Amino acid sequence: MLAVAGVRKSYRKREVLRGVDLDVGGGQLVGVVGENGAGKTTLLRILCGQLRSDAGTVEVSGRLGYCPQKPVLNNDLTVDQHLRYFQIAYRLPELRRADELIERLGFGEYRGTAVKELSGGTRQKVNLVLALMHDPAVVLLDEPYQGFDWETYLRFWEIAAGLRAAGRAVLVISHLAYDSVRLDTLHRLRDGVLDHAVAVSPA
Amino acid sequence: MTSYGVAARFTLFVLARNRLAMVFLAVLIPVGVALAYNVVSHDVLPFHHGSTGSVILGGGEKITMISCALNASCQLIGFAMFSSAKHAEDFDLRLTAAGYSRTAILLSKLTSLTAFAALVAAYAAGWMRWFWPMEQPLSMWVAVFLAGLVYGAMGLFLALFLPGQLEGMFTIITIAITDLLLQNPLINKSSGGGLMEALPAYGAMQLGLGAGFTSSVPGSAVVSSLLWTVLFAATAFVAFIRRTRVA
Repeated sequence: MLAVAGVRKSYRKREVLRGVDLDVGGGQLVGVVGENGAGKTTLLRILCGQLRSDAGTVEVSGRLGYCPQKPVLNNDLTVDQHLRYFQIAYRLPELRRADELIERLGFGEYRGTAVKELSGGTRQKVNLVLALMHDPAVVLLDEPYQGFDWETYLRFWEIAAGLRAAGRAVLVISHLAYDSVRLDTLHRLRDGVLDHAVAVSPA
Repeated sequence: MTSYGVAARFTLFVLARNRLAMVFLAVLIPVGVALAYNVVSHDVLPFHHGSTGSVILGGGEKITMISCALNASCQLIGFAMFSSAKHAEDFDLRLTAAGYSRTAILLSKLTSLTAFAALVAAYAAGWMRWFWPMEQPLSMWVAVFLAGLVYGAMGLFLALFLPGQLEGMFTIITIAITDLLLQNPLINKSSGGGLMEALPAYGAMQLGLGAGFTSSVPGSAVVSSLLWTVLFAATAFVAFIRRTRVA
């Protein structure tokens, strides 16, 4: 569902990605780890179409959901106003999936609150809901649990497992490998290329 | 239509929540106009009205009032539009990547600019009218409205290049003060000429002076302001389309 081949990207003379290949099929939960500055976010921005690669191809089957690392929200708008904006963007007749996610992440009481008045963790939850509310076939998550407390962190992984069970292709970026046991496959981004996949848990 | 309606409503909502801008609006304009009326000499002076080519007579306090109202409106609308564009930069990118109509977002920005400029102009012209039964109050509203349009579009334009709020505020204040200082007939007795006519606030100032002291409306002044607005807004909008184009 996500097929990446030979993706290259340079910032001036610095070559960040030097031929990245990656395949994520339906029902797969794949992780990419790498040190700070290894190019993880650059790779994800290319995959979601926000950044143009210098070479290579990216093929996505079906709708895409992208959760950026830092919450990209409009501070003065409430949670519900964000949902309304993205309901129109995704052309959704109703907000059933968003309602369900908000309930699972436990921030329903803040739906009428302006985003700037929310805690960092709750802002991150809104960020995640906006990426998942249209039930995309391919999900790209860039360290989506920063600022989550332990309980929410566990709920996030429940949601991710649910996406896998529903046949979605899920790619999670992290700079730590401590959640590797929750993944089907873990790749390491090093020197601009992805190491061969290491199977970390039975699918 | 829904996408435009929602975007316009939310953009106006965000603009209205800009407390600094609202305090500026509520306080700066009446204080500026009142100070000009009370502090500046009421002596009537002859000055050259560039766009009609005639010499007209006006009280110093009234000319200063026009200058103050235009200056405050330019700075207020310019910075409010800069600030809202800067705040929404990444969010707009995410929204359009998710499939939101770019035309709807652009139109909503134009709507908020027009509505805010109209409101500020009504407020400023209303305060001026309070102190001074001028020749053409409606034309005075148009003058302040056009000044707001030009500087609001300039704010959208500058948001493309300047990194932060401080840089935006500083740049807009400096441009507005310089522009309106040169346009003030009490300070600059020259009959203008090409360079002067090319400045962003020229049209608004000429129209304001015409509205205050004559019964004519200099059409060329309106055209000059509209050209500046179109130039700034079109550049900002082309850049927005380029930035939000999916790679």
